[in-house]
Amino acid sequence: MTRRMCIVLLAAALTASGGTAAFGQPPGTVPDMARAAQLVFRGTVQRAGASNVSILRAADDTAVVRVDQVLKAAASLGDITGREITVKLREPGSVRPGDSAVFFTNGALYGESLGVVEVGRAADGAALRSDVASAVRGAEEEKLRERLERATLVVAGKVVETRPAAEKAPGVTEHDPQWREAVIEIDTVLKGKPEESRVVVVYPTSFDVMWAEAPRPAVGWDAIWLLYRDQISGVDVSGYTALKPWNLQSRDSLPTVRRLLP
Amino acid sequence: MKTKTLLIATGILLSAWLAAAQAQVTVVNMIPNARSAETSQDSEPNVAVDPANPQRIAGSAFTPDPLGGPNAPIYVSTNGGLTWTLNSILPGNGPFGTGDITQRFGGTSHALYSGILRGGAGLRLHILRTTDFTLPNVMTILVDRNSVDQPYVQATTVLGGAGIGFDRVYVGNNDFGSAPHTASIDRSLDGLGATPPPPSNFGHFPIETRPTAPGVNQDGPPIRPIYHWDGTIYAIFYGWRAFTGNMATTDVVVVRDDNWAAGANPFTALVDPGDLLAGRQVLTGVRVPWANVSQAAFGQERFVGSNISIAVDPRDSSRVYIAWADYPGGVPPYTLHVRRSDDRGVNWTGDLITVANATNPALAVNTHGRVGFLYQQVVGSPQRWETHLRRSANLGGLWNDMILANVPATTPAPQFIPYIGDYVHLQAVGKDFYGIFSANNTPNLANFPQGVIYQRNANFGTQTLLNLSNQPVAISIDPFFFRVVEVAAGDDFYVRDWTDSPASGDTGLEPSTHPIFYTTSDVWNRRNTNPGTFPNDQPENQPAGNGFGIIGDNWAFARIRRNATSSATQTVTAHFLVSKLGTGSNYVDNTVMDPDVVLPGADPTVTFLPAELGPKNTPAYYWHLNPVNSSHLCLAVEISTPNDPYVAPSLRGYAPGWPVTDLRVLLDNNKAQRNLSLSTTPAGTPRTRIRAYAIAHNAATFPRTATLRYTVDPKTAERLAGGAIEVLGAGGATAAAETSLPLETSGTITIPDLQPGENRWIGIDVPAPAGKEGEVLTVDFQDIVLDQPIDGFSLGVRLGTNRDAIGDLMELHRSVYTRLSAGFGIDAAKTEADAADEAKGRGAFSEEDYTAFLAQRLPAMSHIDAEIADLKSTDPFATEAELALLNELATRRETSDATVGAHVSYLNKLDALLTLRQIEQGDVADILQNVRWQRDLYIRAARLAGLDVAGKIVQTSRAWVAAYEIRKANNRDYGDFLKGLLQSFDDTAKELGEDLPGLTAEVQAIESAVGSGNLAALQKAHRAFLLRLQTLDAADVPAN
Repeated sequence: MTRRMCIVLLAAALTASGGTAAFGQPPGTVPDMARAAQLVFRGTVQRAGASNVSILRAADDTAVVRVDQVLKAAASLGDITGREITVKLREPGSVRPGDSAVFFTNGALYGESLGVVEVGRAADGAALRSDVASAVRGAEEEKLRERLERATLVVAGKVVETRPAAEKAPGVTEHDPQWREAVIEIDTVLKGKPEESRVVVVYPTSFDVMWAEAPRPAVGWDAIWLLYRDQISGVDVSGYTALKPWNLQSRDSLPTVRRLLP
Repeated sequence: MKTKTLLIATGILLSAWLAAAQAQVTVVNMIPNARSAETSQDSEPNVAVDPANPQRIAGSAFTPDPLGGPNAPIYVSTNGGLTWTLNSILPGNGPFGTGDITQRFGGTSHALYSGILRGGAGLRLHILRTTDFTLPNVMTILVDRNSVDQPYVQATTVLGGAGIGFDRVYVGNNDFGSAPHTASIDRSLDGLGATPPPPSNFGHFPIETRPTAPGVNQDGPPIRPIYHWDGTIYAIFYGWRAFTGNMATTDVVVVRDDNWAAGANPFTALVDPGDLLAGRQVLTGVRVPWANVSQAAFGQERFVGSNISIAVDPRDSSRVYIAWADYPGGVPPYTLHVRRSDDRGVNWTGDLITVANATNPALAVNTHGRVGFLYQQVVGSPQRWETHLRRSANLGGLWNDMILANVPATTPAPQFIPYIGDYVHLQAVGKDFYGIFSANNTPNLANFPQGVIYQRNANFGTQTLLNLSNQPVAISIDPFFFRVVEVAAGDDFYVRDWTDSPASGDTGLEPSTHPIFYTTSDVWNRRNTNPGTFPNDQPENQPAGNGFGIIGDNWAFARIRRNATSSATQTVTAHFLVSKLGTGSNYVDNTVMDPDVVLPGADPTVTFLPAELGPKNTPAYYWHLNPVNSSHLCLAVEISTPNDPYVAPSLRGYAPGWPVTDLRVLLDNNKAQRNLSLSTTPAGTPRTRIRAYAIAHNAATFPRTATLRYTVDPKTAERLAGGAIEVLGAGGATAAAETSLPLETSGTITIPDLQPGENRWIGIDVPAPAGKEGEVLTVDFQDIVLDQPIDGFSLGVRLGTNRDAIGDLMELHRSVYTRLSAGFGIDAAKTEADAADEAKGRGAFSEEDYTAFLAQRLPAMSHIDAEIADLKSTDPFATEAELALLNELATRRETSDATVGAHVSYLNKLDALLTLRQIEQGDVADILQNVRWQRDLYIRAARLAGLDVAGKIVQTSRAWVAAYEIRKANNRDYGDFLKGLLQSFDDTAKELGEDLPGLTAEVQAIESAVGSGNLAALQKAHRAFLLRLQTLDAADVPAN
């Protein structure tokens, strides 16, 4: 029995018996790998010991793999279905041309092609794809769970006022957030203990690159608010902040939020 | 359809590439093909070229990790910028990547240093390092600090002197923790050795010395350092004095450090004459707008006072350029200014150029002294962003204008500010300029007048970006890399400064990367027209022969290469020069009228067919060394073609490194020199010592405490244990050695108060080592100025067979006695020279032959030694003692392994003594130095500068030096030149009669020498006059 066959069979066996790692260490379970990987795809090895990214030297731990189906990727990557990409393997010599598997990878190099680093690998199959899809969905909820855990205060409410803030940046800089305050009338407290029925959220108005993605609340915004203290290390703000787009959740997500709250 | 689109794109790319190649300009959209779908606003770019391998280039912009990973990417190219790959190795990744990134490579280390504000972490500074920027390994965090803005990195590697091989890293930053003096520099003197935890070995130094703007208590955001290889560090910043919220009133301040910022009070070398505080206020009361919102009237960009730049001339650390932006008089338009200082930042020109409605100035100076000025300007209606590269070859007088991009400024809509960035970058590596800018990425060739290459999918016919599935992609802001090749690779010929092995040698990089650039270079001498062989890929140099007729005939060779083919056959001209062995000795060529060195022929040429890369040897270039001259010489070559001239000025009349720390051999791959003297000893078990000498000449135009550093390979040092380094030859000294230091693996020799043109002799006194035939053991000396080696030489021994050693000794015997005979009128010496010549002719190099020769010749040698008592009236070399030793050994009938060394040493000493006596009579090699010295004295010494005649003398001297440097004047004109100044000299003498009594006699001596037609005597008389004037010069000049 060849080493390759051992790995594939072991992977199949492990997957069937509860979604643990295909090989190598320490991939963990399929959900673990799906969480850890930025790019999960079903692929077919085209060339072993090869690379189609010029700055990544071909070696026995690289392989050119055709992407047959993307199972998880950031939208910003674009559609790479049908493309050949280079995978830097966890274990040298562990693939042969024609091998088909689900690759759990992280992005590393983006040149004339894509170079990814393998986190784990599992034998392809409908059950596995279903596991991955479930894990990917679960990963999104897991992220939200973590964000809820980190939040100092989670409330549902509406912005009733915005006003200049007393907060100042440490100096005059092009990255000055130019703070303002939004006053939120709370109707539901989901986590934490606000002192009053209204809470003040400090937010940046600057369009500088450092703050461009931050929500800029306006009067009438009605949402679930994940509010933080000391949200960003080194950004000294005395009030609550909600600096990331996902710090605001739609009211529709209230059941999910309730379910995920500790 | 898909195929057709790709063909269209490919065809357009090809034509763009050809057009760019023709223009020697390459512009590349840096977005990789795999990122064809991206629409990010990749603004505020920066670029770093590895000086040790310009194919390796790192870029950066506000580019996020494509998969939303935890690290942000840099752009990596390993093919000179033609293609790029994103490599996510910057810790932290915000929605738009990382913040405020700049990058720079070490000089020879290949390490990449970055300064960033960590993505998604506010004003959190990281200073980072990777030793291989192509690997997907996150960079090491060396410094980690909050409340910092705009880290701007510069890095280099110490090429020689103290700290050789260490990476120096300087990161300008606006540190709010240092308020009110926020303008700061973080510095590491050993970047590669920096080891976390932060701050590793970095020091933090505020460089502001004045009160800052009340209320905000800070300086402006940009602090930009720059280095010179001699250890000079400059930095520029806006020293804010008032801030209203929408306008800063600021000084433009330049600080300087003269020794790598390694001292206790770094960056304080440049003091403002007004308030005597560190930091020259180049301008005060400058008004800089502050509007941290997108400006519709300024191409959607903002005003945040971040637009300054500084560059130093690699040929001269005293010459520095700055650029800044302001509202002139406090009113629009936003305007860029460029100025220059030629005296290390003390005095500044007016504006060399101004550009209205422009931003993002970036300056760089290449090894030709050409200054590049990159900026982006808003023009027209509807507005467009034009990216210009202007270059000036005459110190900013005239500027060539090249438009790299002319793109819409109104689209796309900003995703954030800065729209195109608060800075761009320009870097010169060797002769070439490399830069980066961000711009609208519409694939329209009309937008890129120099052509453009896209890696991402694009259809230039429909002016549409395409994703990997060939679907349209929205227009966005992309980074564009460019390279301007001043000398195309196919035109760029070079002579190696060093070769270590067939697999390791100089590839034409500027500056050259090997600290010893004068012992294995590809310029060499032979005693016949055969260039010899190349063991270990190194030429076999033969010591020059001196004498009448064919005995003094020599042939010079150079080996020439280039790194790329060209489309046409090209002819390279090689110009050879020689100087006395040592450091600081000025080179002479066929125009200098040195009576003893004759280089009569036309410069040889080498033809390179289009496909030829070399190496190709020059034809043998005949030159002749007259009998009066020492055969201990340096040999240099300057090669040129119409497309690749050497960097002016020539070495003619100069020594490398003078009058400034221009490192002209290191910086110019068209120049090379060999500066090495070896004495051959038997390789067996010699029982003797070798003493050999070279000159240390003060080639400066001011008195100088010379510092020479020597290094010896540790294994060599073990074999030379018991050796010594000597300094000899101070005027009137009779001691055997004024300074004698035990030989270590390295050491420093200090020679105080060397007057311009004054000499010392540096000697080695080492036991002849045992070893293998063919081995070469050297002591390498470097001439240090401002802690930087500007020149060097090597003394050492070559181990050979007994026959080799005796054969070379016979030639040395012939050479020195020929010289004594011809140059000093010692008739008996001719007999000695003939005897050695006859022995050489017979090939009488056996042990028996030599013993017999020595027994026969020693009585005559002793007789001659007595006859030259006058020459030995002061004999710092103690020749007599060496001859006595040789006599003693011969009397004891010692074999050659004991006697050869003493014989060689005696002859080396005698040769050095003869050179000392010869130079005392004047030296035509120093004529240009005299004139430069004269010019500088009448400028520098207040007493002289105040004389009525000063203007005429300075102007006339300047004109003569300028004419000399372009070969419109030479030593033949020296007499007439001085004759024209005699009246001015006389007036000087009369004016200074009280201070310098008897000066008139010096003028009369010049007049007399002019009449004699003896150029050496004229140089001597002129120097004597200048030496008197030198006593009036109390100017603060660099002593070391």
